[in-house]
Amino acid sequence: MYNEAVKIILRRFRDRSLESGLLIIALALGIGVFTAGLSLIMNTAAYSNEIMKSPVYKEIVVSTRGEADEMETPVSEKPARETAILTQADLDAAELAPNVAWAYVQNHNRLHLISPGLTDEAPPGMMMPTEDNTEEEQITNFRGFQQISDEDLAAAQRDSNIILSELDEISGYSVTPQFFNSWEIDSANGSLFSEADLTGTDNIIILGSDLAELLAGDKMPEADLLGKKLLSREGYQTIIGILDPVSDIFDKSFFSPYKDLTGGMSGFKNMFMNTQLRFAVDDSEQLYETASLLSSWFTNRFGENQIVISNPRAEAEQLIARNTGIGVLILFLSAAGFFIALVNVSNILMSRVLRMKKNVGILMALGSSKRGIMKLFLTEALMLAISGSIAGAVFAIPLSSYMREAAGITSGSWIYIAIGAVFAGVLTGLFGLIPSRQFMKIDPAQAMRSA
Amino acid sequence: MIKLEQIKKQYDLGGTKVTALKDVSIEINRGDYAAIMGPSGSGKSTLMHILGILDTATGGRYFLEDYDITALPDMEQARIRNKHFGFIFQSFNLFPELSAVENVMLPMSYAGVPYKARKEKAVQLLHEVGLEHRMTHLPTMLSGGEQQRVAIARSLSNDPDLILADEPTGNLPSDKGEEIMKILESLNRRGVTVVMVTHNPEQGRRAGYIIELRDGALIKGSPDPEVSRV
Ligand SMILES: Nc1ncnc2c1ncn2[C@@H]1O[C@H](COP(=O)(O)OP(=O)(O)O)[C@@H](O)[C@H]1O
Ligand SMILES: [Mg+2]
Repeated sequence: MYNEAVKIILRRFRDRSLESGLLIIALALGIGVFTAGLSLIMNTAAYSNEIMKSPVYKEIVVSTRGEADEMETPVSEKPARETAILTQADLDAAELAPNVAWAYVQNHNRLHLISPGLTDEAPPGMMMPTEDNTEEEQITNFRGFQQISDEDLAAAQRDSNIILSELDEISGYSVTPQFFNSWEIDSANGSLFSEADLTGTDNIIILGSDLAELLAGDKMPEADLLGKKLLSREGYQTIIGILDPVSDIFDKSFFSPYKDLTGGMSGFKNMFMNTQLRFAVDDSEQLYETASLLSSWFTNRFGENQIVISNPRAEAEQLIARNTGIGVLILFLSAAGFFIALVNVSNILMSRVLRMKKNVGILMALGSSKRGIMKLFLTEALMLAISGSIAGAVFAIPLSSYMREAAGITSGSWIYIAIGAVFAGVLTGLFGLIPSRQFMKIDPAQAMRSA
Repeated sequence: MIKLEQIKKQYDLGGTKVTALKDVSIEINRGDYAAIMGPSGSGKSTLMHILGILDTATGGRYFLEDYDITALPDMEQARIRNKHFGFIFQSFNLFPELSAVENVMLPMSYAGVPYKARKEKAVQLLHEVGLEHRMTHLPTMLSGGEQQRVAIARSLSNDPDLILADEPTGNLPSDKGEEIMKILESLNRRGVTVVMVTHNPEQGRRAGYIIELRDGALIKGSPDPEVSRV
């Protein structure tokens, strides 16, 4: 309803651009901060709920002390390398903990692929560990890289059953079969491996869906990868399966059967690449009890302080509790800021009532009802609320994404910003109503007499 | 057309009561040109406000065309003011944010007249008061006399039955005041009822009907026998 009376309000608003501008800025800041705070806490809750559904948070992770400490402890304080070495056999601990549904090994692994042009460089198998090499290089060098001669490579290039990839390196996991059960992963093509494959001498691998797509390229359908051999410095890897899509990380990975290392190399290797055992339960409630059962089993076997039993869920819950606490505090502070902005808006609108008093009298003389006056000033409050909400939302978007980043939330929804801005806008409208109620009390005859 | 019976108006100022009107009974007929006169503070404006239903009396009764409208709901009051009354004030009371033509259009928007129609009517009315060259001017760009002529055009926008003018020439030099008086008189000749507050005895004499107040009481309230009615 755009008429001359509304024009008066709009033009007054424009003519007092400083006052109006400050009003909108105050509102936008209040609404923006409040909306960002609300969005943070909603996103924290949603994100926590979401990640807690991951199988990772239904697991107890068992590793050796050295590996668990590696990240946090300064080098000088690191204890002497432990003697405890975890092997697949230690998965037997599950027999003592009745709630364990799946027990498996999941170790990081890498394959160094050989691409057609590689023989120009020094044969990789010749590299020996030196003091300059990083730990990782030392590890890979000790993993039994195979030398590949030019003839071998030429032969491989001719063999349609062998895949030479342009990729330098692919990462993945050595796992025992229950890994697939625990994550409920199925193969889209080919098969998964079984217990029997753990002791076999053939190198077999299963590809995540993205990795399969990458290796197949445009050259062949993904299913044709099955049975082919991937040439790597670690030897030929026979592809036996391709997985359904699961999660970003797994989709880009390969999976090979975990094999306990035997012989002289194992001790050295295990210093750096120790085996991690994972014990999954069906119900996260059972994690604490399972952790303590496993703890006593491992203490029994290896002695005190050799093995670290960690409960990722407990750690995540602690982090979430902290984030939620901070989120509540931020929400409270931002709500306080917003409230102060609202009170100011209310005050400024109230002082407008006084300044508009005479005009109200004239408008009524010309035929406006009290309801008409009320509507008119509600229009003004609404205008403020809407422009404040929009400006506030614009302001909240970068603020909210910054806060989310700071809180470590990788996913999040903008819907909370929209909800927050609408809610804040409605509140602003309500506060705008307080002064417009004052208009109802104006007696036109009195108003006409006022200057 | 209008009949006031024993109208009282008292202001309660925290214990002490100020009486603005004492049992005022008057009658205004269609086509009348009435002048309300009296010294300052005698209750002239109060009477105008009650006539215009901007204010309600604390006693007495108000009949409009034989309907008792002493106590009407707000919406009805607004409708009567809008459609049947036109107000003109001493200090013009134009909206400084609106151009001359927009000021004239405003009351028509309350009557639900569509934009184009009210613009046409406003232009025509401004022509009639001789302001065709001032349509888009803001009030601050107009002289007092011009502003009052815009206000008259505004009061006429919904073809009122009654014009209520509270000292319409009070803020104007006498020549400009005379122009306003001429316009009001010609309106009256065309059949519009005019009630005007004035201090000017000459203006009072030209009105056919004098309502004289002193201290809120009516001392003369019938057509003046000494002055022939226009
Ligand atoms: N809101 C009010 N409160 C108290 N007294 C008032 C109020 N409005 C008017 N009056 C008093 O009522 C009397 C009549 O005022 P008014 O009608 O304005 O007189 P006039 O227009 O004749 O000068 C005056 O004595 C004035 O002081
Ligand atoms: Mg007066």
